Amino acid sequence: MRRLPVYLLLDTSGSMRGEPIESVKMGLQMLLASLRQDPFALESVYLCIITFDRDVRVLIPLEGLEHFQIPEIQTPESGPTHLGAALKLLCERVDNEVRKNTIDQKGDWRPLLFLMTDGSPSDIQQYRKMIPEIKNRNFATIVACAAGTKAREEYLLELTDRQSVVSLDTTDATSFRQFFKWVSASISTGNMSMGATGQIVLPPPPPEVHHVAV
Amino acid sequence: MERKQFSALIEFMANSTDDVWANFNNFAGVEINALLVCWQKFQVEKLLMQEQGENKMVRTDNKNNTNNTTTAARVNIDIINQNTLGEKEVENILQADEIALVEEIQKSQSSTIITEIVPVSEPTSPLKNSDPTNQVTASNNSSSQEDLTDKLTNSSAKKENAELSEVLKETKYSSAGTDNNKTETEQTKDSIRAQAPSPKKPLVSSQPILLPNGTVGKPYKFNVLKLCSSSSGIVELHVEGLESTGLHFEADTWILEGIPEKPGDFSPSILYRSKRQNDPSSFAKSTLSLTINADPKSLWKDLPSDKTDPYWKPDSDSKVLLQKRLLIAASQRGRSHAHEGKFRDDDFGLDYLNDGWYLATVADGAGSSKFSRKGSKIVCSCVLDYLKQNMGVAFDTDFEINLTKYSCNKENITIKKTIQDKVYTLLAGAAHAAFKKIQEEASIQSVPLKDYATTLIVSVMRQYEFGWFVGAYWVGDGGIGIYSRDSDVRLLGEPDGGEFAGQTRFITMPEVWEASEIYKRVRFEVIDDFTAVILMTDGITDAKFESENNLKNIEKWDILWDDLTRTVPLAQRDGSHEKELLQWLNFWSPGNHDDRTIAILV
Repeated sequence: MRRLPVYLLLDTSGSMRGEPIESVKMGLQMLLASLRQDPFALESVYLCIITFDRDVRVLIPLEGLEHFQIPEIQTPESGPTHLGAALKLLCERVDNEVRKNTIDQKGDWRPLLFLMTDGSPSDIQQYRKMIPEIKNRNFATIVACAAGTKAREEYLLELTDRQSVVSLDTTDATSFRQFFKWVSASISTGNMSMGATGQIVLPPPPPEVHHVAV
Repeated sequence: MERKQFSALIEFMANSTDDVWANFNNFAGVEINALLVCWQKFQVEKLLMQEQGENKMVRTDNKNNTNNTTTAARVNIDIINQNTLGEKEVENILQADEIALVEEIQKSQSSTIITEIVPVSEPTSPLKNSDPTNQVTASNNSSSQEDLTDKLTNSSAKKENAELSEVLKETKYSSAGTDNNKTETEQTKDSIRAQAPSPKKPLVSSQPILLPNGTVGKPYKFNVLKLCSSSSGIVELHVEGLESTGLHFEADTWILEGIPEKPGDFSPSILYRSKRQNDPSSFAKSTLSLTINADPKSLWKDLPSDKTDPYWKPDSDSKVLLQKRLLIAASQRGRSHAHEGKFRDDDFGLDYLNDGWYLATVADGAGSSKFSRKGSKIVCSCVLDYLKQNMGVAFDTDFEINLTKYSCNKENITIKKTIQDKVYTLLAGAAHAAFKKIQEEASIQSVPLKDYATTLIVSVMRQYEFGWFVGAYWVGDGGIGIYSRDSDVRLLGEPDGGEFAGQTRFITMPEVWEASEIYKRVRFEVIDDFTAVILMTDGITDAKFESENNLKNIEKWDILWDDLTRTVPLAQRDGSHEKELLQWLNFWSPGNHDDRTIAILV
């Protein structure tokens, strides 16, 4: 059966420790609850959560909504934010996991990527090196979220287009709840039939989630 | 096994009287090895807990040889058969007190292995997270878990084992515990670094313990034993708070099962008593977390489409033409469109020309194109108009002669090419006329052409003396095949597909109008007879065939035909089965909720 692979890349660096990461977890709960009411998502959405701080890890490898359970998310005390390494790991996962159309099997829907960071990449060179690689992986949408005041949107604008970069004023529960609600709505439009290079049109974001200004 | 508990055990043994040691010595050799195995296991688990920063060590007071009641270590000894190692063979719970240990050792007939000591308040880790294979690290820094795993096999672990044997030797041969021994065990405590999976989540925890998810209507069965450490010595266990879940708990098998009735997040409780708790009414309690998914079938809504829309068309449609053979078609809006009150983007066309031509078209409007419902409608009717006007001229007596020749000798390449060219001129001409019609409409509405994007399959069929001629033009996905039951299926082309689901080509794309491209899309067959010629959009081919390879597989077509004719008695060839065909189009196929259209000549 055709799956809709959704990759969530979450910043778990030291600055996310405490309330911010708890808010993210609550947001994830919301995302799951919301997707579980969407009959299409319930059948087809497969989520993968990758976290990045000093280390990069696949917290949950691609798993269907039916059995998905939110794991513990650890944050170190402090340390760098290896977003570049995260993108590299993501490319590896996508290459290995996302099924393409072959004469023997129907491929998955084009994968979706949602990235959240509250800072900027420490490994900038690696980050920039990975950007074209990510673009080559044919994501139907790449949404990058700059959460909180320390997040630097300009790096995210290198990765994806302006309509797909959003920012949150704070890293509190309300902001993340709205963000993940929007993620859920975006996922629900991800199954459209389209030509090979078409981009999906994201639904308008809620008030707490701003499109970045020029 | 908790490191603290183990060191407590060592210390206890060190402080034990000669009597105890006399008995212990009786189990020397094998038991010492067993202890070494435990020691290794214990090191590893302890290290995991340290890494998680949740090292709640249990302090035991060695001098008094008593244990703090709130943080008591329970030493569990599995009495096992030498040949079988089973978690389920937990038989005893021991308190780390002298008498019980002695009794236990005296009782045991076979080898004993201390498998686990479970502290009362152990930190929790979610079931899934503790599997190291889930944690793929790509860090450049040294604190990766792979490094830690390496450390387990390095010399320091071996060193600990050596130290342990030293410790055991010393304690064995000196009847009173010495300060030396204490120091050594204290030292080994601090220098361990290794890592391994800790699969069992301890029962007592501060966060809700996750049960596996369930789904409404799907049988659920889970053995709660899996949540417990194997040797936690639980003798009685209850699960409460299951009202409204539809699940029940079997007290004797510890199985949680049933058929969930309602979706939602539930928080049942687990109550348990271990053997060493003497008061039979005293239970410890933990909260469980249970998520029940809704039945996907129940979540699909069916909202009517907007009748005021200028491009509105009915959510379902069907037609039948009965001649010598039966030509029937039906088209149904898919669940995903119905769920949002959107339009049916598929369409079809059927016609019969008096000189014996059966004409059929199916089209699938692109989901991402705003007006594709109109696009599919335009192409289906326009193609039929064009064919009606031009067929007689194109497929004249010369054509028939060539067909007859070809039917006698299919190796004749020249004849084949002549026929192919004729078919190409007509069918590509029809498709092109349809394309131009869309262009006109787009232009009138000042809307980009791609807003009307649609696939298209056209088929022309006629019976001659030699048999049947079937010609087709095909752009996009879906499929058309000449099907002969139990014999073969001849596809009249190949589906267009990209690397990913939902990618295909449309009649509105410039690349499909390159000369070489168009030619490839026109095919024909000459065949004695057939069971049916079937045209389908991908709403049906995805569900019934799944892959391009399967589309060529006669068995899959047989299955499809049997399934179809069970609901729609097509063999009867009377004109009354549109309703049944529409009904059949409602079949349930998880993940396949697209519009469905089928046209059949039978």
